Amino acid sequence: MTLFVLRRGAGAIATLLASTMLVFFITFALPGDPARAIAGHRQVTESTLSAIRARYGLDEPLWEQYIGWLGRLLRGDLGESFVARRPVTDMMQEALPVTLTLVAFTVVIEVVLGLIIGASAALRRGKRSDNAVLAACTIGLSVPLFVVGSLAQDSFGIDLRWLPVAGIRNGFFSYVLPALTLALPGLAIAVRLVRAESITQLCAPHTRTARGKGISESAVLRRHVVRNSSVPFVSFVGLEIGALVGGAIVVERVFNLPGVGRAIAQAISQRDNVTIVGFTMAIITVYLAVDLVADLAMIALDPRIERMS
Amino acid sequence: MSAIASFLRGRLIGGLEFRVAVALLLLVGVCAVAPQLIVALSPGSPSPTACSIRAENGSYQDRLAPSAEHWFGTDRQGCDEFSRVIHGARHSLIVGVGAALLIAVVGMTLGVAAGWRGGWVDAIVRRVGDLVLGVPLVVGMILILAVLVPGQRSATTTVVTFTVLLWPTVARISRAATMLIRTESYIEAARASGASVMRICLRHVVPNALPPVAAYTASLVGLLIGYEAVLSYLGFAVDASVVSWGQMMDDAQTYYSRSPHLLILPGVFLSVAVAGFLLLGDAIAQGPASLDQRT
Repeated sequence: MTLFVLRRGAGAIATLLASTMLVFFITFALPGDPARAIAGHRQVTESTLSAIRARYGLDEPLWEQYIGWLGRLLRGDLGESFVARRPVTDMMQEALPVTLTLVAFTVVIEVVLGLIIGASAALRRGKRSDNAVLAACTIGLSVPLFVVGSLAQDSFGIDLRWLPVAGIRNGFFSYVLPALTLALPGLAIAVRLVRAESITQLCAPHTRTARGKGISESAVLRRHVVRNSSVPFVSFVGLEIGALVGGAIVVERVFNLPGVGRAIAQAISQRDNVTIVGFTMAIITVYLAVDLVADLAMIALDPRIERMS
Repeated sequence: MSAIASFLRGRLIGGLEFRVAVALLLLVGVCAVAPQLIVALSPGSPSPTACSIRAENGSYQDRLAPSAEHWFGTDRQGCDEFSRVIHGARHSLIVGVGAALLIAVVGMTLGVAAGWRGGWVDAIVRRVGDLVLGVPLVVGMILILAVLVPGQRSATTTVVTFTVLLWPTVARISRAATMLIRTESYIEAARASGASVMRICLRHVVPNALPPVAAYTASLVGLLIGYEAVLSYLGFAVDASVVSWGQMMDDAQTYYSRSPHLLILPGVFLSVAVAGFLLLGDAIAQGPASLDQRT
């Protein structure tokens, strides 16, 4: 177990280093001169520009800039935004909680509803309600999120005035519509996954044996069906959290939430390289950390996985 | 016998999902290939780009409500929305199908090579794939488009962006399939009869690894059509001469409360296209030719 954690942890750090390097080099290949972005709209001479480049280390070769960035990273310093003139870590302290709250809400919705709807559809396999659930899943995966978000905003927020439509000033309630919107495609995948997995387990020999022993139906479902279906589900949730942290950008835009996605989109349009790299690294870190935790959870649920890997 | 032919035999034809998928895709396909045929049904302006804000009698023609003449109303430039929605299918299908096919070809080439050769080829393909999948998809799309196209994106740059970010999944699927196929006795037989590696891969490995890749690729077309629209929404505009659902929906966002149909109607057509490909993917995955069901 310890060996597994060490090996996976080392792998995660290697991936983190390599992907940040990738993003760093792509970012600094962006068209447009960051020195000019820093100078803003003012008319500046070439000597001012080179002074700016020297001040931010932009005149050094790219790989030296990367090494310098890594060194500061180890001290918890992600540099200073070219545009906002503030430490990137400060901006992150504002944006990260917004996105993480949104993602947490979304994942809770996906897990709870996914398990309930998926398992009940599996128990009614082939019946009309099961087919309706499957059709709803296809629709949920097909509709564009920003259309659903606008519809929800207009009907529940503006017409009915039930929920706030934009920003985060209303605390918990601000996140209800965005999270419900963001949960839609993931929920559709979760329901299909739980349903398929439960059907496999319901037909498995060990379930037949458990029933044959005379165990109550609810215990069969709890101990034999749901527990065995949970392994692929945990793997899905792990991947889903990672995907949501990066994918929240569309919903953040619809509902005007000041989250990570919006910060990155803004930074890219302003050529704010330091901010782009810092936030991307934060997203990748969350992604890798969740992946590692999901793998450990899977081993806890099914110890055979460790021996296989 | 090719694996593709065996898809079309057997239960696949009879499946409900497959029939619904074919119906939806036929509808979208006709829109993409011969939009004039459908637009001609409506009495309004047949061209999606011949628009005027003011008619000859001086009345304003922009953002009209749906009527007998303009079935879906008109957009803010006075264009017939019905005509634009129908013509919009082409761009979505070109990008979605084009990117998914390119991803399938690139991913399968690398995946089969990795699964067949093993060793350092496998190590490189896997490491690079993991690296690419480590970058969040939407962030990756924004980064690449900002580097490749400072101005407007075209169908080609969009296809390249999708391919760069999404080949690893196909590579993983076809690598796993190849490693199973490699141990089969028909491969041994082909080797014994003196077939070259190239021939074995093309005639035996690729056709047999195709079912899971085909299922994923079909669903992928649907997802990519959705992502293409998202790019427009995030501000990566396509050339204004191209009629695109994403662009129409992005424009409609501003006028949503007064003219919701301008957002909903292209959204419905886009959903139909996406659903068609997702169902097609499901039908292939459940088809009799899928790898694990064959003995």
